[in-house]
Amino acid sequence: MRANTRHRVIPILFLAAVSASAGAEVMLPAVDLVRAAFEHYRGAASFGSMRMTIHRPGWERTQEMDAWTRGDKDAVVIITAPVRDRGNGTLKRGDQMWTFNPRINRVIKLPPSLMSQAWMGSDFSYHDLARSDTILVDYTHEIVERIQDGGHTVYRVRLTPRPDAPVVWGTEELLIRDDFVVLEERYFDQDGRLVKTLVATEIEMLGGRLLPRVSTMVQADDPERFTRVEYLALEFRDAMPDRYFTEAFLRNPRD
Amino acid sequence: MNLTIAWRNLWRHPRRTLVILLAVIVGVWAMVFYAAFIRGMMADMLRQGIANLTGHVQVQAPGFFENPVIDARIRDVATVRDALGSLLPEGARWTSRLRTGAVVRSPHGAYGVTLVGVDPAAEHGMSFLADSVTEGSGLANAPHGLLVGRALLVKLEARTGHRLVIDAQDASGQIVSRAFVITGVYRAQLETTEKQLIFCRRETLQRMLGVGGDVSEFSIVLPAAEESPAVARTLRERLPESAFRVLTWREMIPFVGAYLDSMTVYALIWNVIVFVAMAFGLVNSVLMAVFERVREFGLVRALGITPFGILGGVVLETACLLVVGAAGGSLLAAVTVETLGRTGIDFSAFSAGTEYFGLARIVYPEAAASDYALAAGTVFVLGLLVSLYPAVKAARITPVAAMAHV
Repeated sequence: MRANTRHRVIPILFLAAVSASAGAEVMLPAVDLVRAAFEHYRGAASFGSMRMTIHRPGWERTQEMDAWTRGDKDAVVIITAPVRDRGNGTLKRGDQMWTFNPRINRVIKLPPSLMSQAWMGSDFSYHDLARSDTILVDYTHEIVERIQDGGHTVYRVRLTPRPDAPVVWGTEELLIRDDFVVLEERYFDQDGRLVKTLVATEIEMLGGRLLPRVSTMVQADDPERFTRVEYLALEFRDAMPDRYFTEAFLRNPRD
Repeated sequence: MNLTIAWRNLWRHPRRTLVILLAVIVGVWAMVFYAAFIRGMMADMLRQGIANLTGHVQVQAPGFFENPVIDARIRDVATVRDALGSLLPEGARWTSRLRTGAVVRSPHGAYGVTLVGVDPAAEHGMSFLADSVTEGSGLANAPHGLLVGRALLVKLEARTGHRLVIDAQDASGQIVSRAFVITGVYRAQLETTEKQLIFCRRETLQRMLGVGGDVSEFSIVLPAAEESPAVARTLRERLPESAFRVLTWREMIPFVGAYLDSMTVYALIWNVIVFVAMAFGLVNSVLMAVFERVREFGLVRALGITPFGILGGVVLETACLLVVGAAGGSLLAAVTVETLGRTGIDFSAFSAGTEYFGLARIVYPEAAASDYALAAGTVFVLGLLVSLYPAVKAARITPVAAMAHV
């Protein structure tokens, strides 16, 4: 199960990419605002290393990992620390996932049922991470508020799922800054109760782009339950060869 | 003549006789009532098992029973339909369902379930489903409605009108996801059922999984469970084994069948236990009746009665006692079973425990004629056997020994 944690990387990269282009003051319709942000992410390839902290009222666990991504479909994540977990990895290619555990020296293809489960230890679910362009397709978008924050305008965009879209949330809200940094993503259930919030902080230049260095998913009912992911390093590449997204690389990740 | 004497002898000590009579009555009552209780429980278990989407007979694709995946489905639906139409006995009902493993998701959780596509109208009288909807309108007018068990709904923190997302594997092996709206909530006897099964319309599921008109199972409910093997045999002859598998309820829920079969044995064991307890009292009181009449037995021996005559007399006395006791016990049991059979015995206070065994919350005892016969028979036959001991003792008394007896 631990392997699934690597997928937390994806939204972080998504957020990162979304905020990658520093736009001017815009007056876009809501859907275009979201699309504009999303388009900047699409197609990018990246290599990053990050530290993930799962915090609970009684305990806390920290892992470090390397991640290679290409577009919003392909990703491979390998744990580098602590030593106990080193070498555990997950590969995502399209809709399929594999995990590798060095102790049993075996690559296991994850059954689809497992992929739709929330990962047990953390506050990210697989569906939080694998959403790709569903954020454009499955929702209707509406700017409900413009907030002046220092020199920036922050748009509060409400996302309402289309009736038959496979989305569990009642509504979602995005806080998008006018330079396309997504500051916050709020998930509401169908009674309008806030369930969890993804907060982006420490926005700075990373890999040549303006990105949130730290992203935290917090459970609304208990602020002591959160998962924090912070970038230690990040670089963007124009392309990433196929060999990274193979089972062989998962077993033996030599960059 | 002998009978009259035996009857009078019995009532020379009315209190002693009444006490032992009471023991026999209570014993017979306990035997019959236990059998009736078990029988009621088993009948309910069978009813529940059949209603739990099992039916008396099912037609499935080969391999579906062992591994219920979407690939193991009946593709030739028309053949089964024709066979059922022409071969089923009067009064039989059937419906078809499509089942698949699925994951149901809400904002508060994701759980593995079995999604069953049903024809809501046809489920009436076939399964528990039709009578179990406690909230909402069910599936009747909602193409993308979902019927969810109470317990699962609590886990998902959802209620009627909310959306749930279902992920399942379609015919081509791809994962398909779709939003459904909760249009009904059902209660089942067992909480595990509520957590395991969710229902939608069959056509909706067929479209979602891209299986055309294919189904997983045809379920048949017969007027009587006993007809199952015969019906299954006829269907097996018509439907080729390569494409279809015909199963009876005994094959689908074997533990219920095993319980039913062992019921008579349980009842017999219980009867023997009750009888052993009763036998000590019986032997004791007959023995006392013999010992206090030593001089009397000596006298009648001297008058020319054979030892066998004496033995017969004592046994006849016991027989009178047993007949009256068995009749009284049966009568008492009949009254109890009749009353409780109407009101039921409520176990809901212990439902958490009984559910574990798959038992009902309310048990309606029902006694068969054989239960009475078995109880009365056990008491009478074994009672006579144990009374032989004091009877033989009485038969051995000689006039000389009796005179010496004080």
